[in-house]
Amino acid sequence: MRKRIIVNLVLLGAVIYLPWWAVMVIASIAAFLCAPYYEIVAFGVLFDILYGTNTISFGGVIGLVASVCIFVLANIIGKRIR
Amino acid sequence: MRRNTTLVILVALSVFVLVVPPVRGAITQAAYLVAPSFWNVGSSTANIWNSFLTNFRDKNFLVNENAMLRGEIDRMQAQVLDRNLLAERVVTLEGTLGRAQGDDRVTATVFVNQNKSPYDILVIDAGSDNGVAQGDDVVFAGSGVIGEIAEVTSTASKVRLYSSSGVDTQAVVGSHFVPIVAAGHGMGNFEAKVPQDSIVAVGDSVVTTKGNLILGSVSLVEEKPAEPFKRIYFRTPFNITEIRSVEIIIGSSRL
Repeated sequence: MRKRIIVNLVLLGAVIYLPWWAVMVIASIAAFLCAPYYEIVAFGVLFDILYGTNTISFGGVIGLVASVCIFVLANIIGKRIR
Repeated sequence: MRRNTTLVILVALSVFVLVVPPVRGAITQAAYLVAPSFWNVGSSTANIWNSFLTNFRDKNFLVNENAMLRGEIDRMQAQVLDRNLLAERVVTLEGTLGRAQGDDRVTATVFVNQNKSPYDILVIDAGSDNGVAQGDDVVFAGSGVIGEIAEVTSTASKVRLYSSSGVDTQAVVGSHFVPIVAAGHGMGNFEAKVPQDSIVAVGDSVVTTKGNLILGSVSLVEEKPAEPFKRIYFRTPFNITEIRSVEIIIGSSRL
């Protein structure tokens, strides 16, 4: 539980302060560390809310799509590794 | 199975939040009540840290100073282009003086530059409380237009850059005012096509039809005899990634 809270805080900080590619890397690590990491979807939405608009490319849902992809991939890869 | 159901419910809820404009708008407003404080803290911390480090590292101090001076040069180059444009106007529109030039501008600091997100937008610290509205032009160094307001909250706004990939902007190029559609290629770069017999040269200014603002200056003209048009490539006269403050022309969305 404590690990999850720390990971959430780190990812929140990353979404606010770091470039998108760094957020992707940290989110991927978080998804492996805390599987199943459902919070990643909320962070994807937060990313779209903060930096996207629905008047631009892909309707401003890149964060959501990326977070779901990371979640699914982390689960698939995690299962194969364990 | 339970895991999949939870994910599907979460995704459905998220799509609802992001796709329904009033819901997205309300959540954006709420998020932007808090987020600017964090960005301000981050910016202040970075400044303090940089000041601290310059006491110990002369090399880094010089690098920072160099970056600052480069930014200043970019700004001055844009201003020179502005002056050139004004001079051209005086010559070509001689006798039609008296046209209202005054516009209402708000200066804003850039919270988030386009490196931060894949959307190629800027987040600035001026919003509807300052009179900013969706569609208003955003300029740098007086008349170097960079984009328009895409979304507004009470205290902040998102700027969609004209140079973003997939964004087309109506403009004219050169002293013959050849009309073009400037296609954004990202990072302040544009491409446009003009008829083969058009007179366009490297260094010509590209000016938006809406508001007569400078979009860039031509850096390359590519001509192939087999094609009925020339391709022109141009870029903003300043480094768009180094912009720290911008001006919003209030009411330009109504032009």
